[in-house]
Amino acid sequence: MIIIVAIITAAATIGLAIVQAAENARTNALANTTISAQISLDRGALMNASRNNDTNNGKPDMDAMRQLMANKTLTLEDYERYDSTSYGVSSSYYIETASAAVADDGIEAVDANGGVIKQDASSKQSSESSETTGNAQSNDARNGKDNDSPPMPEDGMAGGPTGDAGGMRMTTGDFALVGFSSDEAIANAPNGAFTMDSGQVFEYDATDDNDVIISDTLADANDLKVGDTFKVASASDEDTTYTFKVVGVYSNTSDAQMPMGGPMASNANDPANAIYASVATLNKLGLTSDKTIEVTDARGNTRETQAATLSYTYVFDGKANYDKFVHDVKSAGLGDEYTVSSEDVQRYEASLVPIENLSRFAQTLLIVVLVVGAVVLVVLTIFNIRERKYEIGVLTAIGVKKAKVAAQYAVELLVVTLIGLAVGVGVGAATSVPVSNALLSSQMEEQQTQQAQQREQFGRDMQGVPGERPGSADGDSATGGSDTGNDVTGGNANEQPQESNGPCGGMREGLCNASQLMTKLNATVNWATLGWMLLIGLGLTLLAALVASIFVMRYEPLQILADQS
Amino acid sequence: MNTAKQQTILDNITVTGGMTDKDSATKVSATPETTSHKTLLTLDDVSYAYTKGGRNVLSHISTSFHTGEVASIVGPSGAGKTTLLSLISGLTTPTEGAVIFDGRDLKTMDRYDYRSHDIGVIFQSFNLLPQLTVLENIILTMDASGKRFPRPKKEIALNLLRQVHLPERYANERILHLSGGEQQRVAIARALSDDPRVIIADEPTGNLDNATQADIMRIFTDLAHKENRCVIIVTHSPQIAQASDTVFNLKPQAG
Repeated sequence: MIIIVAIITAAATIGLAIVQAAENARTNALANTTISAQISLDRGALMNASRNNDTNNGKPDMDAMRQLMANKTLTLEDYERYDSTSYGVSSSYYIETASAAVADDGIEAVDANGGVIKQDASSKQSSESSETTGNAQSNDARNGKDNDSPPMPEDGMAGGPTGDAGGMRMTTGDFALVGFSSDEAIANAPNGAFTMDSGQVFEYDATDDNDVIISDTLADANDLKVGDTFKVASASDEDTTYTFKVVGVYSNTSDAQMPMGGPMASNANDPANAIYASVATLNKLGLTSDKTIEVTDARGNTRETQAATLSYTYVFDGKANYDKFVHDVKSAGLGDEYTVSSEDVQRYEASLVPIENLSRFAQTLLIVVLVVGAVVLVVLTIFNIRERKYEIGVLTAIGVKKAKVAAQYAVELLVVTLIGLAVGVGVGAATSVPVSNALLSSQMEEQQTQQAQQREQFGRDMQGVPGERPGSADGDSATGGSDTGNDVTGGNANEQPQESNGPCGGMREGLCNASQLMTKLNATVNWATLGWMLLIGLGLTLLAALVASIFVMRYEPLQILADQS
Repeated sequence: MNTAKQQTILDNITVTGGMTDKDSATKVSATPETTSHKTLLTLDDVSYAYTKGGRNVLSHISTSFHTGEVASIVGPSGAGKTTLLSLISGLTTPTEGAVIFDGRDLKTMDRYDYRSHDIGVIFQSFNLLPQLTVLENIILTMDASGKRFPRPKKEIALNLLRQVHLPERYANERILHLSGGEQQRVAIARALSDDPRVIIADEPTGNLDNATQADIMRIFTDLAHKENRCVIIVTHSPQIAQASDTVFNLKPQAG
C-alpha cells in the first residue's frame, strides 16, 4: 500500500513539477523584458473579402485589391495614434524604406558577389522599371496576377503574415534608402546590427539632412570616405538625383545571408547597398510613405505606389503591456483586417514548443497517474475493509459506533498515505530534474529531426521559421529570448549550439542566442508543488476513506457475526 | 406492561405468574430464591422475521429477566435462540413488540451506547480480536464504553482475569495462542469489563470439557448471586439449564 502510494506520488510529483516549471517559464520569461510589436495588414483576409465580392470568377480582383490595400495601408499618423502610453506602449520607432537607382554620375552598386557591376543603361533600365515597386504589398499582389513575370523568391518567404521589414526586402532598384526615426530604430536595423568603422551616426533633426552612413563594402567599392558626397538617382525618375553626404561607414557585425535570388535579385536586396539616413532626410527628398511615385512595369503599365514603405514598431515593457496593447487597439477602432504581432513573442513561444509538448505530456501523465492511482487506492481499500469485516463486526457489536470505526480507518489510511506521500515526493523531487530534462531532450530531438527533414526537402532552412526573420533583428538591446532563456535554462542554454544553429545559420549571433531552444527545464520541486501534492494526497485519501466508510456503514454487526458462527 | 406491575408480580414470588405464556414459549421452572430481584429486561410480545413479511423466526414472545438471577434460554436448534439473543443485546430490533430495558424501549435508545454501557455479550464464537493480546481486547471494550473508571484500566482487567480464573501470565498473550476454554474466559472478562448490569452468553460451554464447564457456570452464578447482575445464558446443555435460576424454553416455529 505504502509502495503503491509512493509510486503514484512520485509520478504525480514529477508531472506536476514539469507542468509548473513550464508554466513558470512561460509567464516569467516575457514579464520583465521589452517586446517590440507591429501592426500589419492581414492580406489574406482582404484577399478573401475581394474574392467574395467578385462574383465573375474565383480570382481576386487585383486592381480593386490594390486599391483597397492602398486605402487600408496605415499612415504614420495612424500609427502614432496608437503610440500612447495609455495603450501600454513604452516607446516606439519606425523605419522607412525607399529605393534609389544608380545615377549616371553617381556611385556604383555592389553586386551579389561583392564586386562592383557596371550595368549598361538599357538593361538597368529594364530591370529597374520592371521591378521598381517599392511596396511590398503591391509587389505581392502583382505576383499573384502576373504569373508569367519572373518569380522573386523573396515574395513567398519574407512576405509572411507580419510583413514587418518585408518591404525592405522587396525594394528594388540598386540601393535601399533606409530612414530611421531614432537610435532605437538603428539598433533594430533590418540588415542586422553594425558597428561604425569611421565617422558617426547621423542626427535626427532637420539640419542634418542628407547625412547618411554607408556600408564598408559600398564605401570600398566606390572609394568613399567620411565627408565625401555622392549621388544616386530616384527609382522612378532617372533624371532626379539625390546627393548624400557620408558621415559614417559601418560594417555589419553579422554577415547577412547572400541574396538568394541569384541574378534575378535586385541589388537593393544586398545589405551592402543599404544607405542609412534619418527619416528627416527622406522626408526632405519626398520619399515618405504618404507620398506616391509613379512606376512603370515591364508591360508599360504605369501606376502609383508609395514612395517608401513604413515599418512602425512599438516597444513594450513586458508581455502584460503587449497583451494590453493588442486588446486596446482593437477596442480603439483598429479594424479586424489588421493584426498586431510581435516577433519577440512569436519567437519565444516557438522556443517554448518542446517545453509545452513536454508539459502537455506531463499533464496527461498526471491525469492518468491520478486516475489509476485513485482506482488502485479505492480497490485496495475495499479489499482491506473486506478482510477486516470481522473486526468491524466485533467493534460494532461491543458498542463502538460505526462513525468511530470509519474514522479510525480513515486515520489509518491517512497515516499510510502520508508515509507514501513523503517517500513519493522525496523520490519525485530527486528524479524530477533529470527525468524532465531527459524527456525534454527527446522532444527537442524530435523537433530537430523535423527541421533536418525540412532542410533536406527545401535544400535550405525553412523560411519563416520564427527567429530567422532578418527584420526581427534586435541586437543587444533586445529582448525576449536570450535573457529569459537563462531564467529557465539555468545558464545552460548553449549546450547544443550545433543543432540549434540550424535555423539561425548565417544569422547574427544575437539572434542565434535569442532563438536558442531551451534545453533545460528547471523542474525542481518547490513549495507550490509540495502543496499540490499534499492536496492530491489528501484528496485521494479522502476518496478512499469515503469508500471505506460506505463499506463500514453497510455492514450490520449481526450479519457479520452470523456469518462468522 | 410497566415496571411497577412487574415488581408486584415479583413480590408475589411467582416469576412466571404475570406472564401469560404465548403460543410457543413456556416458562418451565423457576427458583423462587430471592425477593429483592428487580426486572431489568422485558420482552413484550416480541416477533422477529429476517425479511419483511417473511417467516417469523420468533413470534409473540413475552418474558422478563431479573437482576440477581441466572436465566437460561433453551430449545432445539433453529428455535431462534441466537435471534432472541441478538434482540436482547440490541444488535437488531424486533419486527413486532418491544424489548424494554430498565423501563425504556430499546428502539428509542442509542443501541451502540446500550451495547457498550449496559450489557456484556459473550458470543458463541467469542469474537475476540485475534491480533490483539488478552489485555488489549479487554481494554478495548472499556475504551469503547466511554465510561470513566475509578482505577487504571489495566488493574481492572487483571482483576477480571483473576475473577474468570485465568492465570495472569496470559495477560499479554495473543488471543490466537489461547485454547477455547481460555478464550471463553477472556470473552467473559471482556463482557464484564465495563461493569454491565446484564451479561448475555451464547453457548458459553459449547465445546468445553465438564470441569471447565462447571467452573464457568460457577462464575456466572457468582455474577448473578453475589454481584446482583442479570445473567442470561443461551444453551442446550441440560446441566447449565439445571444450574440456572429460571429456564425459558423456546420451541421451534411450526412453519
